Formats: sequence, C-alpha cells, structure tokens
Amino acid sequence: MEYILETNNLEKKYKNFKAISNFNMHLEKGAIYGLIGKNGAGKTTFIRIICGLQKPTKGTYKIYNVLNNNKNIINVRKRIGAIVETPSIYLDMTAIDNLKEQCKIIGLPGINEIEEILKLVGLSETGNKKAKNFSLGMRQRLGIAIALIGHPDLLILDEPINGLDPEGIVELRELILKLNIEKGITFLISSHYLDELSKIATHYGFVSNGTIIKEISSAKLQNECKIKTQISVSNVKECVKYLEKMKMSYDVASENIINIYGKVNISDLAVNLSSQNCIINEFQEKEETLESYYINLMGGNKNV
Amino acid sequence: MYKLLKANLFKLKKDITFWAFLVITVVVAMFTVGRYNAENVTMDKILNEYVMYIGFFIAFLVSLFIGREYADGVMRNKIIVGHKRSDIYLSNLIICIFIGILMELVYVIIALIFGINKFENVQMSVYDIGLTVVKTVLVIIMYCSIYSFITMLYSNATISMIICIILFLVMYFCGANVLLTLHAKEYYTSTYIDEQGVEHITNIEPNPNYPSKLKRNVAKFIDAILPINRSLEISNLENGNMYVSFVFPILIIYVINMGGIKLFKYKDLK
Repeated sequence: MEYILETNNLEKKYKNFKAISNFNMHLEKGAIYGLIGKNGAGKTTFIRIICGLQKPTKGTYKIYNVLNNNKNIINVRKRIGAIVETPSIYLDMTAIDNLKEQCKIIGLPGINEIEEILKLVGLSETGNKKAKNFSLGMRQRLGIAIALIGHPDLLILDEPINGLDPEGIVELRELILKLNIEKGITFLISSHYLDELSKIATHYGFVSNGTIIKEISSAKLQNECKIKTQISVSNVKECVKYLEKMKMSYDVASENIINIYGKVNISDLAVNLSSQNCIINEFQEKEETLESYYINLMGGNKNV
Repeated sequence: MYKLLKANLFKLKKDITFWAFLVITVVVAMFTVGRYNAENVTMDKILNEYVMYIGFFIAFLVSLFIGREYADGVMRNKIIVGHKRSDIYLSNLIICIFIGILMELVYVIIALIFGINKFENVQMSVYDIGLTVVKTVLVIIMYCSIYSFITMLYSNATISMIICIILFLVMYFCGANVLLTLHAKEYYTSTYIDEQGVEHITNIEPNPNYPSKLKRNVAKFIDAILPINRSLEISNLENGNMYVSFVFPILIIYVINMGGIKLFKYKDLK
C-alpha cells in the first residue's frame, strides 16, 4: 500500500502534558481522510507537527516516504497545502492580492493560475473587496485557494467547517469532492462534525486522548454501520438455524437477542420462525450512524 | 530567501501603516526644519535629528509588520510550503531594516529640500559624512534586530508591540541616566570673574555624588550597548569611540540575530 503520510508512535509533550502519544496513522494516496475526535483530542497538534509548525518530542513521520528528520522534508512540504485552525490570509488585502502574495512566497509567476483558482473556489467576483469584509465561508474558501497555489498533492484542512453556515458547508463539501475527483488531491480533514465528514471521507481515523484508536475505510465502516434488525426470540437455536439456511448476516447479541444485518421481511421471518417453534417477542430496526459508531468506539456518551 | 523578500516587499507595498509612517516622517522633517532657528543650527544638526526618534517609529512598524504575520496566521503559510525558518527570520529582518533606512532617507531628502535655503550648508567633511551614514545604518539595524527578536519570538502582535514601545522608552530613560552618570563632575568649583573679565577659581570641592569606579564602568558598558546612545551621539554630532560606535553595534547585531534565529528554529508555532 502506498502511503503519502504515515506516522510512527508520534508524541508531542508540552511540559508535563502529552498532547499526542503513540500516534500512528496512514494516509493513502487519493483518499479523503477524516480525522475524528473531540476538542482537545490532539488533532490540531498532529496537524501542526505534520505542517512543520511544531516538532515532535518522540516518534517519526514520513511524507511521501521522506522522514521528518531528513533535510529533504522541506522540499516535500512544497507538495502540501494546509489550513491550520483558521485560514491564513491577510485581512487587509483582496483575494487576488492574497494569492499574489502566496505566489511570490512559493516563487510562481501565477497570474493565470490565480484566476483559475479563484474561479474554482467561487471567489472570482470579489474584485477590490478586502478579505476582512468576507464572510467566514468566503475566508475559508480563500484559505483553500491559497493552499492550492503551487498545485499541492495533499491538502490538510483543520476543522474547515467551523463557523460556516449550512450553505457554506455544502459549498465547501462540493469543492473538496471536486478537487479530489478532478485534480486527484488527497485530503486530510480534521473535524468533530461527524455527519458532515461521513458525506465525503473515504477513510477515518478516530482520535481519543492524543492517540488514534482506530483507522478504518469508509467501505468497512459502512459495513459496520449497516442497518440491523434486532429481534428478541423464544428459541435462539432454531432462529440461528433458519438464518444460516437463508444465508443471512447476523450475530447473537445475548441469550435471546439476535442482530440481523441487511433488509429483513419481518412478516416472512415471523411466519417461518413460528413453524420452527420460535416466536419473535420483540423486534427493533436500528441504523448505526457514524456518530453512534464513534460514541461506541469511545466507550459511551460519558467519554465523548 | 529571494522569494520571501519579494513576497515581503509586495506586502509592504500594500501596507497602509507603512505609507502612513512615511507621511509622518515627511511631517517630522518639515516640522524639524521649521522648529530650528537658522542662526544657531547648521544643516548637519537638522539632517541627523531624526535618528533620535527613529527607534520609536521602527518599534511600531516592525511589531506591526511582523506581528501581523502572526495575527493573520500567514507565517504558517511560509513554513508549510517549505521555507527554512532561518530564511523567514532573516527576510523579515531585512525588510524591517529596509523600512528603517527608507524612513531615514525620506527624512533626509525632505529636510534637505525644505532646509537647504534656510540653514548653513553641511559643515562635516566627506569622511565624517561617511562615518555618520555607517553609524546611522548600524543604529537602524540594531533597533530592527532588537524588535525583530521580540516580535518573531512572541507571537502576540499587540503585546509584542507594547513590549517594543516600552523597551524603547526604557532604553531612552536608561540612556539619559547613563549619560548623566558619565558626565557627572568629579569636583565642584566656585569661580568669580574680576573686573577685567578673567575667571578665577576660589574653591574646589569633591562631588559627594560622584559615581564610583564600578558604577562608571557599568554605565560605560550600558552606554556602549544601547542603540539610543548611539542615536544621541549621531544627533549631537559627536565623534564617539571607534569600538563603541562600530564594533559593539556589529557584535550586538550578530548576537541578537543569531540568538533569534536559533530560538525561532525551535519555537512551537500555532
């Protein structure tokens, strides 16, 4: 598997406080990786380290197979664009001037690229309006536009939808998908807006207390979060026999409770089980969302 | 580094505060020309007057220019795209020095334009003018180095600006006190002037408040390291000690900037 970013037991300590420890994550090329965790879980600290803003106290990370203590890491960083916490823009400058400034920082001539990028993020009509007069959504998009200067292969967005209105969230989501599909840009997005992230992410990393506790692909997660019908039956043995015969996906949750995954015709099931001397006492249809999956992963509501 | 300098110059061009300070410099130059009486003062004094206040203006501009990079978060963009921290530090310092020199230049040009007909021409020799220019540039670099050090290492723009301005005022009062100590008279003399106008000393008394040798040495050292005292020296058209005027400033500039770059390399940025 080709990873463009991977970490090995990364740790960051501030005096006696470990912001992250044993942090191991793997980002595949072309993925939209959602880093999920509550506030203070260590997501931003991790992003700051990857972006070179802070140094890890222990552990290593590799970007495009280059180790963080290799001198070449500086060149590899040129392939990264990022927004850490808030978009890094000069508020007293227009969108065009902000992009011109970034072009100069990178060393690009840029005029054609600027127009193209502004169009891409929907800011081509802002004219002489200064960034301080932009809405939060516009600032966020300008931040992304700046991050896109220099054609990065990897975009890192830290809490990109914080403070955005619903329309802004939709616009940003569409932009991320567009960039991922059309330009093949890999994304690392940290957020605690789980449902929003679930609409775009192809991979997830769940962060708790400074550690990644689980990495999972979207396909696997969907499988784990699929619709389930929970039934309480009088005879579990007979029920299991029937489900095996019908090749249905299930698990036995307790002495008399069985979870059946996928679509179930409950009246057919009741009739067939009744002929096997098994009565359904209760049934409940449940769909596990990313949120409930996350809560279960974190060990229940009190830990989230 | 070249890319960063180009980016900084572009930012400077768009910076309203920078242009506002240039206008203030023009006003200061015109005010200085108007304030002095042509009979008591030569053009030399007028041209070297601004170096007294430049430390104050640089404190504002440096902390604003660099502080804004932190406040707007743009410092992050430079690091994320792979610029070395030492390059970022030095490019900011160079731009601040450029700002300082440009302000001094604007002052000199405006003072010359408005004062050339009012005051006696420059009395200094070409050699002295050369020395004064070098000294002035060194003072500007010293101020920029000190303020850049503070602003680059302290990411809060407002607080670093307050620190820079307070530091200038502290240096100012400290410098004035040091000069008082160094110029204190060892003996008080009582004199009278006779009918022919000749002055006679009648009594010599030691000054009870004359600073001790240690105190004078400390004062000499502080005098040597404070940029404000170099400013006063230039402004008062004094020829200072070669070491104090040139070697010390170069050493101070080197130490501050090397320290600043080293500390900035390991600074955790947010």
